[in-house]
Amino acid sequence: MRQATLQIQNLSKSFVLHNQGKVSFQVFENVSLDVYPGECVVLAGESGLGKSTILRCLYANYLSDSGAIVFNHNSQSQDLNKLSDRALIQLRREKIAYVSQFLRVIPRIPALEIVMQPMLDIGYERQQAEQRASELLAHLNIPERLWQISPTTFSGGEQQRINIAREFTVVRPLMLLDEPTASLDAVNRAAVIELIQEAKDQKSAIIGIFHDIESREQVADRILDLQSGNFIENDTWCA
Amino acid sequence: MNQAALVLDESPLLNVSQLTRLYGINKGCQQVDLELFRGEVLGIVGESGSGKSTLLRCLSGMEQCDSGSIEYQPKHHVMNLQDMRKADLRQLMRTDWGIVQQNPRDGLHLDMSAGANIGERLMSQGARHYGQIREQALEWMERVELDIERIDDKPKNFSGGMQQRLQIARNLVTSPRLLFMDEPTGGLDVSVQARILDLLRKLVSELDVAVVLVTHDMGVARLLADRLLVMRDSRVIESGLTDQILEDPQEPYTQLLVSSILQV
Repeated sequence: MRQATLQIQNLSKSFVLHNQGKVSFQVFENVSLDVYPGECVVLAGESGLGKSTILRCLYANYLSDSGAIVFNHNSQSQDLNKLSDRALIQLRREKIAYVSQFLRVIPRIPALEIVMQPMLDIGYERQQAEQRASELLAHLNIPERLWQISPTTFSGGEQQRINIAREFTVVRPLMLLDEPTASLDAVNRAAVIELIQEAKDQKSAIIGIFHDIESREQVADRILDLQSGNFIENDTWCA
Repeated sequence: MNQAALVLDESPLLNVSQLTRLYGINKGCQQVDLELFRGEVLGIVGESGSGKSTLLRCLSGMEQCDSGSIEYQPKHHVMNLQDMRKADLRQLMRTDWGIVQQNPRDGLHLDMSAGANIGERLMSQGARHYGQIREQALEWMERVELDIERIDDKPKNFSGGMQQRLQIARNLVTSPRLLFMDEPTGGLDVSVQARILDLLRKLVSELDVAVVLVTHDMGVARLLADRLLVMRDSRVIESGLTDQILEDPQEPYTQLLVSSILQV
């Protein structure tokens, strides 16, 4: 029997805003989901249901209130909610890709260098990293004259593609994609979807948020509707 | 592949427990526990007067603590800072550790040439060959993007940003295992700050040096630190991964601190 790469079990998250009258609100409760190697599960539902919040809990930017996030890889099983900070840093470097909606970088560092960094961090030679980074930037239609420029001056869509390039340099067993196609035109959307397909072929388990129905249809193996908590049936996707 | 992977069962380079140094009620730092591992950047954040600089001075041996222990383990042998002889501690500070002060004028000899400022630490490590020392000084001036033509100039005639880059070169030339930095971009123009941050990021990852970084600037912390400790009124009130502290702070004070960051 195939083992899920990720097993989310009864995950709950709330926030307490201490400086705004101690307001507390529950974002989601008891979310459970298994994601298998080579599969892409899309989180769907209106804004405010906590789609991005789930991804952030999975990447440990957010602390979960309760529940387990079990990551299975190479016959090792770890609950992300119980790992030390250092273990999480290592896991992120080697095993988890996360495409966020924002690009945060030190001004002055060239785009090419930013895309190379994750490979350098896990011990690749500069030459190899540069070659792979160049391939990705070209694939994502970033003009070569921009490669040596800091992306802080780029347009939203260009920054988004730098984010994507950086996270797709190496195959990672788990990928978290927060609206990777949001600010892209049709050509670039297609380029991103091609990368996602490649990652699936290489057995990455993917959880993503896609607002445009076309991209969603192309990549999703299952769609979880957070409103009802049920998977949406295949033939009603476009409804 | 994977030579840069973290070894999770290694022992920490710096192991601090219940460190206390107080000047008055809740002034200074108290009951601080922390671990720092090879190649890791630990940020200490908090407002002025929260005790972060006192903590840094105790950790770096510049100040005696009242109680608690600081263990430094460069290889297999554990050194206990409190029990060390003054001379040994000074030797450690000059070679295996680096200290980048907020004000570069405190960390440089302003009347010695730039080259001599860099060479001095090499000489405390035992280097005697003038030509080699000068060569390394030139190499380091290039690495921190200082004009090598100015190797014989005195840093008192340098701009603040140049002085700070010289101070970084002076500290890193001996390939220290541990670097302490107190507001390294504190007194600098924003444009100069980015350059220093970029340099620090690059050098820290190339040299695999562990860093304790004190800053009140959450933006600097976000860009450089792997983990953060948040201090308030002499105590560590919260700690965690940098992005977790910034995006999901738990303590009321940390929430206030994070919500005060200006979004650019």
